[in-house]
Amino acid sequence: MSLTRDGMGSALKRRRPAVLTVVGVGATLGVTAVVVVVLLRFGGGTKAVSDSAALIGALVALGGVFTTQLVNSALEAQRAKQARKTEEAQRDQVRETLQAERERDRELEDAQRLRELEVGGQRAQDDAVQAYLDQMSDLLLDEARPLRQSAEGDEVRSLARARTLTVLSRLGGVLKGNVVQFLYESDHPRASAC
Amino acid sequence: MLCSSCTSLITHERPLVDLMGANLSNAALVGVFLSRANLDRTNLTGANLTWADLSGAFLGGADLSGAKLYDAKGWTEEQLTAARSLEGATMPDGSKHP
Repeated sequence: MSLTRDGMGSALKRRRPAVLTVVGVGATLGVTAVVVVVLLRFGGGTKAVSDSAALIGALVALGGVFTTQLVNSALEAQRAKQARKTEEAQRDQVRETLQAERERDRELEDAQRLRELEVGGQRAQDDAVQAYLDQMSDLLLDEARPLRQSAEGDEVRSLARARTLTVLSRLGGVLKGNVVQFLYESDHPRASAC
Repeated sequence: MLCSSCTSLITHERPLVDLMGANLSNAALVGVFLSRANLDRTNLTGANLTWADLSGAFLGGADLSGAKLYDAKGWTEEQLTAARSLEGATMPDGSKHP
């Protein structure tokens, strides 16, 4: 029973206040009309109606209170619903803002990491070239077994080739070009006339 | 540039450093002197050899696909046909090799 009343109450609350006003006023007028008709028919005519004016007035007042209560409840429910909607919208907005901030932070972190990798990679390549040039200089200037005086198949040539191929495989285009230029320009005399 | 009596570490008459099979892909060799260089079977895909001096360079078996040879100097038909591939390369006259 209480469930039914609650159900009816919430159903009424869900209605628009304007509709509930019409329902409340209609119900009040309906009940008043029924009372007046009953008094006219069975209570002794107009005299009974005028005698019961206070009762009829009280009925109308009660209907007014009932209608006001109904409309207030509906307005309150409407306001609560609106507030919930606003709160949800605000929460969604905050969530979206936070999500966007997180994504922006992640993108910045990724970009930073990429920059560090690039810088690290470039530094590693520069270091590799520097080490290669030092090693090749050692091979070229070695007093005991200089690369320049080596014969085909000598270990020093294999070493120079292995180091060159290794460093080339690790470098970007510009540094590869620099290594080739170094190899080309590290000329050595074929004859003493140079 | 080398003097007439000198040879570089990679000239093909007497290479001290054999670059055969070296990975020179995308190498920036713009305007570089490579005359008589031994580039036997090197990977030169996408290398930029614009204005490079290729006179007498050995390109046998080299992969020059996608390489830029625009306005390269001293090259011969014989040199370029000895390359393994020239697919998509920009030829010295600016045309694209099929």
